[in-house]
Amino acid sequence: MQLCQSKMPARDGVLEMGRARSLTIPPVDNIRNTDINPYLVRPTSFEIRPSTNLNVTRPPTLNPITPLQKRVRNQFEATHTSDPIVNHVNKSSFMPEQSFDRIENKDASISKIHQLPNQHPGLISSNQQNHGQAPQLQFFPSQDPTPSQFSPGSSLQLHDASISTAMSNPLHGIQFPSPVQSFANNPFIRYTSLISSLMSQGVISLANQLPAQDSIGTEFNPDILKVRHESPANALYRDLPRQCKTCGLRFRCQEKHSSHMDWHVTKNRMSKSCKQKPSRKWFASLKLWLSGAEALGTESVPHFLATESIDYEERKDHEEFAVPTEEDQSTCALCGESFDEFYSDEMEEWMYRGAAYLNAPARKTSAGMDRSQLGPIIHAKCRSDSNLQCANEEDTRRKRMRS
Amino acid sequence: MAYGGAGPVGGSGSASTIKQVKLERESELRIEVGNDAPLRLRLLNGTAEIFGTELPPEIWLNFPPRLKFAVFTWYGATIEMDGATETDYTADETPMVSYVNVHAVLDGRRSRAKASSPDDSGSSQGPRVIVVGPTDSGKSTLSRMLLSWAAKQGWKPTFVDLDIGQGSITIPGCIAATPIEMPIDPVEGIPLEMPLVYYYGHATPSNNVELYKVLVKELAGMIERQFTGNAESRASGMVINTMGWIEGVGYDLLLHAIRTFKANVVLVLGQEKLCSMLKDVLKSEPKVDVVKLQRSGGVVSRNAKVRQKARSYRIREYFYGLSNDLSPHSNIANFSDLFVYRVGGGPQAPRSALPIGAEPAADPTRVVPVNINRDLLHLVLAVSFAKEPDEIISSNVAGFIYVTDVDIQRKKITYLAPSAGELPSKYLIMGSLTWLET
Repeated sequence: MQLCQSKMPARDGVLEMGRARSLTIPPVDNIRNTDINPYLVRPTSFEIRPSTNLNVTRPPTLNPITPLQKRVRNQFEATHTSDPIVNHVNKSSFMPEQSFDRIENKDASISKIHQLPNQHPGLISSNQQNHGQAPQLQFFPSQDPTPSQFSPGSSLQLHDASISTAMSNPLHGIQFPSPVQSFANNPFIRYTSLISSLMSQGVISLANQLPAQDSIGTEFNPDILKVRHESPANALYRDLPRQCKTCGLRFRCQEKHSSHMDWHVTKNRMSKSCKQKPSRKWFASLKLWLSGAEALGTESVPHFLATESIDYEERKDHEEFAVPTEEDQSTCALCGESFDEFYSDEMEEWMYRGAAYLNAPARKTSAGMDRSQLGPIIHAKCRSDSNLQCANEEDTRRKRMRS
Repeated sequence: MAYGGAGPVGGSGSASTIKQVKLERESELRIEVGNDAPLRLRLLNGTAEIFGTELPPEIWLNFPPRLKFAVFTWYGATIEMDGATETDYTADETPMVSYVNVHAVLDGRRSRAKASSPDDSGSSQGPRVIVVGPTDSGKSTLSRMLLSWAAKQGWKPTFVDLDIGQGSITIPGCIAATPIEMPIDPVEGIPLEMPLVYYYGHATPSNNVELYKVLVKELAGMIERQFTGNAESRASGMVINTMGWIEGVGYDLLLHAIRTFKANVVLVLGQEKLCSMLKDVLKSEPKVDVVKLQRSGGVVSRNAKVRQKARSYRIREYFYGLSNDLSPHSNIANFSDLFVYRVGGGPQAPRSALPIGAEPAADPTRVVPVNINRDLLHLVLAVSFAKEPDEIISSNVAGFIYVTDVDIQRKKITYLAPSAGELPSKYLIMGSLTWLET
């Protein structure tokens, strides 16, 4: 009950301070606008305090920090624009005793932020605290603070201000147990912040913490080159403990070793699936070499081979069209170009490569049909696109029937 | 990979030809496989490597006839061999310590390049190594070691082969480049999966020095473009293998290559005079290290006849594979479907013997059309990626064909191609490389 009653005079004091300011402030619009902000914040802070006293639980104790931080920032901003107001308030002498104590607290906070000379010689403890914190304040500007770094600093000042308030007002100390708990976390926060700041600036790097390998340097010194050092051979053997038992390749970590074993499996599978002898492929074009050399890796080898294999099959399918050579016709009836002749071991006669009869069904052989019904000889590729699609469809059907 | 299964069971009744060799630390077993039969070899215990590629434990490897190689061990090993060898012996004095120290320095430079900002093209460039020296000094072998060690540690260096007489990447007569992403197989050699190949057409640069220079410049330009777009490749750097011609015009071509590829590490093998000359001429170049290295005693000398045969085997390998595991295709084309060109060279006809207005073929880089006739028989022609004839000299090639027959009456040419189907291009480049399929 006493605590609740003590709240009432404080509110009255706030109202009285407001009146006092209005009496002393000149009628300037800018000053009035800035003056309104403090009033909007204070009622909120007062409303939270009763709940803090009534409910002694952890979640409520965290709430007061936010409005207090806002107050500190507002004071910081207000001070820049309304220093004359503070001076006027200090000069007034008709304040109640409790209101005067609150004014002293505010002065202490302001002096800590700006390191202003203390106008109240009687507050010896405030002087000591202010002096002790000066080096810390100087620490942050030297780091060229960013918004993310300012927040920890503000928090630090806030906690110190709270402690100062507790010392000045023993009765109010009971109302601020949480700042003490928050203070314990400050060293960790500052340490993390410092490390992050230094890393972002490139001053230090976690990589630098790795132990430097024993190296014989990057210069060709004849005396060094002649002598045996353990590090070069160790780097090729003992520093790579995992070895592939199939091909002898060594690895440092399990991941690369596993992917290499997968590469062996894929390679073996490809060589087994290819029943007939493979052929040497044509070299890559310059364009492919400039781009493919980058993509070509240990894991990419099967992919590259698979891609080439697909292209090879497509070309081979087209080349399977062939008809026996004829003296009466050596050029395509559609495009007029000459046919390529080759000797087919299977048919045991000379053939036109990639050729078909115009009237023949879209299949590779024309067995069973009379020559007079087939029409002239053409390139299979010279058929229309729709015919090509029919040919592909028939090939697909035949393959399905086989499988 | 030419890996065999488990070895035969040691039956008590059969005469076993298996031989075991125990190698002390830092020693190597030097082997020349016989001419007629392959050799099987495996690592029994310890660790060992062949030219920078480590042997898998207890896996039999099959080495084809005539192959020459060395098995080296850093910590000691026991090797088992099955089959006859032309010769095999153990050596305990090798330059391997200095070779691997060179690798360690290069590895340090690669790490430094990788750690630097990708925006700084200078510092993010890995070492650009060129290996020089006289013939049979072990240039190809040292190149393979440096490439395999780098790949073993996760780098992806670019191998550049300027030796047109040997053909480390593909057939002789070519200069080529390829990324090396895994240690080089001790049997198969450089993998032929993603090469960039320019066709010079001859086994010695004296046929057309200017053409050789143009192709070297073209190849270097393309590698520079690749480095620009690939930070990992750029940090890994390059290893350049060169010809053994180090005097006169050969020396000039060596300097041309060093400057064109902007090499900053010059490894000189077994030649005091060459090392001294290069140090003197390159001392004005900023940040170029000239390092003298000892030649390995295991390098085998090869005479002209051996080289010629090696070239034939290499061409055959292109079409059929090292162990006859590839299937080439025979094709027939009309004369009118193909266009064969020659680049410069050849004897110059006096202007009085030419038709009025005709120019003699004096320009060594001029592209000259060639009539298809019996002269093309048994020639190896390159299939150019050029879209127009004048692009032939600046275009890479898609592969090669081998002319097996020329029918003048029917105007048809029969050729062997690596794979079936149409040629990637109708423009073919003629050189002086011939092959008699046996």
